[in-house]
Amino acid sequence: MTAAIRTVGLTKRYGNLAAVRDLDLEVPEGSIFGLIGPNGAGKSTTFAMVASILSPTSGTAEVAGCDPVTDPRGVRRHLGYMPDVLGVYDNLRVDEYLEFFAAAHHLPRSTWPGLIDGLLELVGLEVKRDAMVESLSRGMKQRLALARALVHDPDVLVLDEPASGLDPRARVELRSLLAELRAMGKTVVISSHILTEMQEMCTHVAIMEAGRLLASGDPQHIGDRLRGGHAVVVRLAGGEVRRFRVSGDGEQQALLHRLVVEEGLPVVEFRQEGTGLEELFMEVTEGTVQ
Amino acid sequence: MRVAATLPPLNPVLARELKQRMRGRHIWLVVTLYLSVLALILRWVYVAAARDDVFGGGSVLNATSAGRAIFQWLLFFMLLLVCFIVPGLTAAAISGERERQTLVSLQITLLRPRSIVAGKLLASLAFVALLLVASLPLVTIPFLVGGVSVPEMAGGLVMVLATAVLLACLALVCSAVMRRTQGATVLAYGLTLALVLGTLAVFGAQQIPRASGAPRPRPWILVLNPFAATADVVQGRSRTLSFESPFEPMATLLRLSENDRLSQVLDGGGGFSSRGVIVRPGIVAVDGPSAPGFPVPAPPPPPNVIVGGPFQGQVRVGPVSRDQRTRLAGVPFWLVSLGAWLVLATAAFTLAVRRISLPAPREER
Repeated sequence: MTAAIRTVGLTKRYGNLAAVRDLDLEVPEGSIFGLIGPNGAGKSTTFAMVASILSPTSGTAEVAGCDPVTDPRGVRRHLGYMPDVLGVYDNLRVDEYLEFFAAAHHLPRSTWPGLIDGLLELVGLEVKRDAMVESLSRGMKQRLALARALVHDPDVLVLDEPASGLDPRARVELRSLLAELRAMGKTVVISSHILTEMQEMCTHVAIMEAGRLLASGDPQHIGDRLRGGHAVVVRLAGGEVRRFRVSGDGEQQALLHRLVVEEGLPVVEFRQEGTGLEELFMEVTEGTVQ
Repeated sequence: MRVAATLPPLNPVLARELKQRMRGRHIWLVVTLYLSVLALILRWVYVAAARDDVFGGGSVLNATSAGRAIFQWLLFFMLLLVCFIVPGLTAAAISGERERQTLVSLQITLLRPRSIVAGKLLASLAFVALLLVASLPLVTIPFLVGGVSVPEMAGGLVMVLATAVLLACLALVCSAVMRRTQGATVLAYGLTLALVLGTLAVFGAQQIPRASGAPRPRPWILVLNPFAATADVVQGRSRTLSFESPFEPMATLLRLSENDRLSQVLDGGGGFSSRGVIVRPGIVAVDGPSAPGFPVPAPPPPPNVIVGGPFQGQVRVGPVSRDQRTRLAGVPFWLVSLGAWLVLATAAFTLAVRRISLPAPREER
């Protein structure tokens, strides 16, 4: 699998403070990649370097084969970026807002109407087409910002904290939207400190803290690797609960299941315990945010 | 086919800004206030002229003099209003986007930084152009009275527009450098003030260490002053003005060193004191009745200078010909001014472009 984004030794220093240190990251093409970490872990700084906004102190990044420092325009062609803050313009309608960004990406005027129809339908804002941008709710602005990031049909989408400030319903909608984007063949990179959300959305995660990458891979894999396996909970009739630690390959778990049944124990529940990100996160981060 | 589709695409930033600005609530207010001030000025000069009966039994020259006065006062206030409006209008161009947190989204499109800055500049200038066009009906009133030629009027308006370009470029670089619009606005007005008043102060200071009789410093510093350059454009051909022109003090300053030369000419011709100064076009003040040789027989007139009869310390001289308009290094003053403004505006534009180019060493938040 080729990488949509790859960073090698990516570092950003402000004086003595290292916002990002020696980051080696690989985002597989077609994945929904979650970058997780507490506030101040360096997620946004990493995104800014990848999106050709910030120049790294050392190390390199690559987006669809383009270097953000030497070929920022190449990166901008392939990458749609949605910052964590939602800036919108006054006195502009929703369709005009998107037209502006279509023009800013040098898309031919004749393609605008079809493009904007498609984008508004994708993010569910068709009915707001003629509304003034500043009158939209936060969730709608977020979706408009996503439509804006998609205006030039990028292969890679980088969304900085897309779920922050959204109500539960908007979050569910965002999740299905991201799945839809993945189905369209796009690579989506999102950051968040809300872990449960990432677990539901992401095919891959990376955990950052204090500018360093602590772990990366698919959520299950990371958990197993870090803990050397996972726990299995067996609850018996009468309320007795027993925990067993098994390796990640599944063989031990199958064996355990067989043994429990052979013993004739009154099993009412047999389940794998939390490879929950929340738990994983607490385990790998030490709370040493700079 | 729609006409818009056949035109080359407008700079996207300009197109968006025009839409936003024209929908803004305050735009009609600015235009209305601007035109009201100009209309008041016009009325004031016109009424003053009518009171002096220049239109009645007076000569045609008097009427044209009123026409010139109306034009010059209008031009003066247009320039003044441009100095007030342009920095305030432009200072938020980039810092405003930064504050609204829309700048990054704009910077990571395929628009080049120079297109973004150019779009912002053109949007400001489009507004100035609107003001100029809106004031045309007022500005053409002097034509009804007479005394102003079309090239003269065009020259004056070009200077106003050039001033707007310069001030807009300076305000843009303030907006790109400063984080906040408030700071950018203060800095932009500070720079405008430095151009208008600061240059005058420096020019004044330059006169102090001069030994008596030594040649005066040339008004190089005043090339940066929009009022000086405009005065040079519109004042040079004025000779029948019976009304005070607002540009006259500036024009007099520009001619200070020419005055020295002129008085030396007079001195050589008829034994006048060399302290003669042109107090207004056509009038040279000399030391007074006690100056040696008063009253004198008319000296042989030097080229371009006709000396009339002396009276109360004043000598009437002929018009300062166009050749005697201020020149710096052989180039007309206003042309040097436009050149200096072009250099300054280009430098400001380039700096603003560099300031918003990405990737940057620091993130703007």
